[in-house]
Amino acid sequence: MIPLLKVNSPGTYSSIQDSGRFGYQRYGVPASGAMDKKAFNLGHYILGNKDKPPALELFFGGQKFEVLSDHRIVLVGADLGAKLDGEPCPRWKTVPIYKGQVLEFTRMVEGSIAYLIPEGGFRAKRFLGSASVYPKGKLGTILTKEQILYANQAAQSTFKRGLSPAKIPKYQQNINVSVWRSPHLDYFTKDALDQFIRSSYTLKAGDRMGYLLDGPKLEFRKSSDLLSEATQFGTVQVPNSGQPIILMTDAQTVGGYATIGKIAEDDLWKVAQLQIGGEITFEWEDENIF
Amino acid sequence: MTEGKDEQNRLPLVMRTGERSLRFQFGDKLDQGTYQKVLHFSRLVEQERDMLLQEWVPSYHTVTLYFKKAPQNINKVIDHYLTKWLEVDRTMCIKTNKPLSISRKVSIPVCYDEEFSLDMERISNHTNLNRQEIINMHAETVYTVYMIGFLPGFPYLGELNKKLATPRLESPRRRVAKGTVGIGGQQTGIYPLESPGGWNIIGKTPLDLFHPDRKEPFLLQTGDQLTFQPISEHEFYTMEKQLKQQPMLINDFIN
Repeated sequence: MIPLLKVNSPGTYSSIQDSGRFGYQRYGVPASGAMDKKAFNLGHYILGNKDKPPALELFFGGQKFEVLSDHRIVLVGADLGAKLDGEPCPRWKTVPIYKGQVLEFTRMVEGSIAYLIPEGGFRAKRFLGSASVYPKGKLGTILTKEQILYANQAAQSTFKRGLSPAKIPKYQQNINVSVWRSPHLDYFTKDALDQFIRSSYTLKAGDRMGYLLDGPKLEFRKSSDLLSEATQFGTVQVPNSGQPIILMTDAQTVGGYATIGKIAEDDLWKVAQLQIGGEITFEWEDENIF
Repeated sequence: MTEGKDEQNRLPLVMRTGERSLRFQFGDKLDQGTYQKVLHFSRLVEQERDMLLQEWVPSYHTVTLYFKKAPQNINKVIDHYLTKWLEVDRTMCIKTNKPLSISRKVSIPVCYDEEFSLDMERISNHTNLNRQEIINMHAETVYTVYMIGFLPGFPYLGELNKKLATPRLESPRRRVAKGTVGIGGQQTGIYPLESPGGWNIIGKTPLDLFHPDRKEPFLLQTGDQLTFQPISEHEFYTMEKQLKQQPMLINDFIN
């Protein structure tokens, strides 16, 4: 167990996440895990980490860490203005870090969620088979000031590795995403369905549970209330307010409001990385044959 | 009616709701017949041990399957489950409205004493029932655990005696203790964890409905037949202490 980082400032919301917690949704435990799986996976790929060990997920910036041991890390995902001892710290490539250095995330430049991953991943307690922190379920806690984060292993390589520029995701504030049709479409008026596809929705607020959108109100034939049933990461739920909510990875496992669809997996990372004020348009996934 | 038509009626509606998810719908409202099918289908899924299946989530009228990756031939997967389902449907008598024989019986000890029943007066005022009547009515019903959600291990129970229905608090409490038993509108439930909550508090159980480090982290599962067993304050603290020392004693409450 290698002490790697001391938390000088935990930022808005920072937590340990891995690929997620599976097999417990029927007991009311959401899958959790990294919000942007694409960045998370690429980070592990760059480091050559096996089995995608726990990473540190950082929202919006404001975090500050003191390095406690020499190591090798990668920063992926959003550009949160990372600085190592005051110098810009590159993303999407391995970076050697040395004891005593200060790593700081200064501001939100592009995207909203970054991942800090050491070679071999972080050492973290696993609950129900996963290290993904889910505070609402008392499964771990978010980062706190003075907390020490441990690495699973000492860095074993000094290899420099990075992603070719063409493969680096770009985080945009205007995105178009594909949506699988929901079984509840008959809860909505025909106009509402047209409007959903024609209009642009603005991200008003968001966290690991859900992204609240603002745009033309979606009307129901009667109401949005229905018999609760399973929801998942990417489900677009529309409560009686008529304003859609995209359920994210810590969302409840079941919901009692009508849903209009589910965001395609290949597009979910774009949603996760939207900043407040970002715009989304939707299109129906073609593949729906039922 | 032709055989084919009859078979169609017995098949759930199936819809692919995502790359890796399939939704099987067995009815469109909460009734015992529909729910029996949900339970039997869930059991079928559990016993299938399909390597591609990641997990499944039953609700009142649906079962949603999540796969580890997008199935290459989704129609084949659907056919597979529907064929299995017809076998189950033929061999099992699931038209009965009685609780399933596959269901477990769980008895939850609850202390309704004043210390733990912060909103008893509110319920009493609303229902025109006295404390003892409320306790009796709450504890004499056999509840079905229809679904688990909202919080890890939080049971959606049916059905609360309608006479006990009491609106939720106007402003939710910031903290409701773990083990709290409450009434929220037409529903009753148990908070498995400390959490904010707006239900009327009528009692508390010493049992941990959810304990991530226990071998069986969750006490309840969907389909369980649940009863509340009134206990004294003294019994509450004795049980709490014993369970802390020997967490496995919790299995004594399951039949």
